Amino acid sequence: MYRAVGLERALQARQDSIEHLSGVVSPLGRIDPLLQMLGPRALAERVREGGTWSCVTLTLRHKLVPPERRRELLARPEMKYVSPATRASWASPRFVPHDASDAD
Amino acid sequence: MVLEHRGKAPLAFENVTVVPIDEERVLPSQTVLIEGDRIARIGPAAELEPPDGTERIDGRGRFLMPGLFDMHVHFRDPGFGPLFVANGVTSVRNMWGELVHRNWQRRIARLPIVAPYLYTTGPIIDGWPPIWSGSVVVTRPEDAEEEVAEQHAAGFRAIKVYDNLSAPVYEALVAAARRRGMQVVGHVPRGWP
Repeated sequence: MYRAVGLERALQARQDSIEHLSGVVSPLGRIDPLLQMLGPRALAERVREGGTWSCVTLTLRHKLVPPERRRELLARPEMKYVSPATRASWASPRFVPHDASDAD
Repeated sequence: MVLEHRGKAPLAFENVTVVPIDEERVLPSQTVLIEGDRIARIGPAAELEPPDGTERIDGRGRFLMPGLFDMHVHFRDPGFGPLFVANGVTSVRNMWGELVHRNWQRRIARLPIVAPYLYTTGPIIDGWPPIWSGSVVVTRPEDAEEEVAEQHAAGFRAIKVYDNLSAPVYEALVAAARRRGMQVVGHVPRGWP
């Protein structure tokens, strides 16, 4: 019988930091029961009081982007300071999680 | 980071606006005196006279603030080092560590390389199937101890947990990490089967 983790168990375990609000709202729109029960403000309080840091990485929402937007970002003048190999990896369609529908 | 001033003459930023970060305020017209690798004094420019031999930098029209700490980076290219520093980031937390990051930590500490202080997790630990093919995969709680011990022995001081870990494995990983004083950071593994 599979037993899943989820936000409640992660907070009980005092996970030191939670990245990207993972476990709170999934990319598929799944909302954690704890958020449904407490609402965002009380949940944020509970996370803080439990000693867990939330590293929300809002910039990820702007930078993990579809190919056409990728080209736009790579055309920025400051990209000349980034190595050709790294620029190529950012341009590659392979630079996505294996199952993009299921990953932050 | 190796933009240190250790062993040199004192350094003063004069008439600079200080952003102290302690609360929402700025302190205009300050002089900040650096001795060795420490801030020795901060005071109004009109009152703080640096000692003879101090190297002086005119701070008029400029701001001086602590270095930023980027808490979630993927430091995949050593060329990122100067780019972080140029953007005011003097410390980073790398969120997918590999052995190469232990090597970079030593090099940054020892060599005159322009790069931020580097903190790093170990490799991502995921269940099956892993979201990323390069992740470490643990599917049995009894395998958690060995995995965490190996990461600790390699010098990592935080484990990174990921989406597809089951609860029994997650709990075993957390326990193994805590026994070694390691942090547990990363994604909240999904809360449904």
